[in-house]
Amino acid sequence: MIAIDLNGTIKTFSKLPKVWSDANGTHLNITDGEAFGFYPVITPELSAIEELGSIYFDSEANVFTYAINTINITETLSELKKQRIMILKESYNNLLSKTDWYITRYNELSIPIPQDISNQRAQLREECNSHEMAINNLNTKIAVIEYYF
Amino acid sequence: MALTKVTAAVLEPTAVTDNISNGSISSDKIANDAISYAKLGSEFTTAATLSASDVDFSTAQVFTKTLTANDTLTFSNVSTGMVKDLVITGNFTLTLPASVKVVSGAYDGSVSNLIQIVATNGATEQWASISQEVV
Repeated sequence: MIAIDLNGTIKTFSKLPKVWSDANGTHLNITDGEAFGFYPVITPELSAIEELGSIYFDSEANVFTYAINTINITETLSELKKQRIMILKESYNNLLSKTDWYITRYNELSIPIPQDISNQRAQLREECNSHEMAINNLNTKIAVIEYYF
Repeated sequence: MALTKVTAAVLEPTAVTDNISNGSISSDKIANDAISYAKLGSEFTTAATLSASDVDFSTAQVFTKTLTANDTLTFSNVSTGMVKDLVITGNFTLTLPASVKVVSGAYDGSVSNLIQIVATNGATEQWASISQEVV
């Protein structure tokens, strides 16, 4: 992406425009965008608690980039933990559901569950419990939001 | 005595010898469908190679140029209704006067481009369409 500053208003483009008009004329086949004021747009990487702010020109790096704003977290630490654990359990429930049919088959037809499947399911439950414990031990909102499993 | 033929003696001195450019001719003296391509001025019938950067609308119908660097063209003697053709090649940035509005197409530096200019308001506004050969 590229952008240009037009009298204080920054306009972005996916690529150099094929036709560009300014006070100096109507320009065709622009190859050197910087000669006309076009510079690359660099989008900064964001953490889970950040969002993009306004675009501005970084004159030192000669690029357009965005201010980074910290998201205002309104939930309490306890509420955040509850949300995160709910997502955690949904995620592991989805993983377990892939092999639920072994359990159903065993209950209905008494066909034994393969040992590797039983081990895999036990490991998933153990991992989930371990993550839940870790989340409950976190002390800051940021840590909870940025906790990945 | 009846005249059997017209002699110089009976003609008003300049009636025949003056050509049209020295006098005027009223429209009723020109038959419909009588003005042929051959009678048009060179500004409508000739192609000129642009060596400089000025496109003089009064000199040719077609202007050709091969860009060897970024170039800025200027227009002169533009009048409303004029239509001129620019055939431009070269993979460089071409700048037309700010009065030109591109209404269709885009310049392709890898091939020859036909840029047709229509003067919609004299030197104040021209519309341009850009096209290339279909391959």
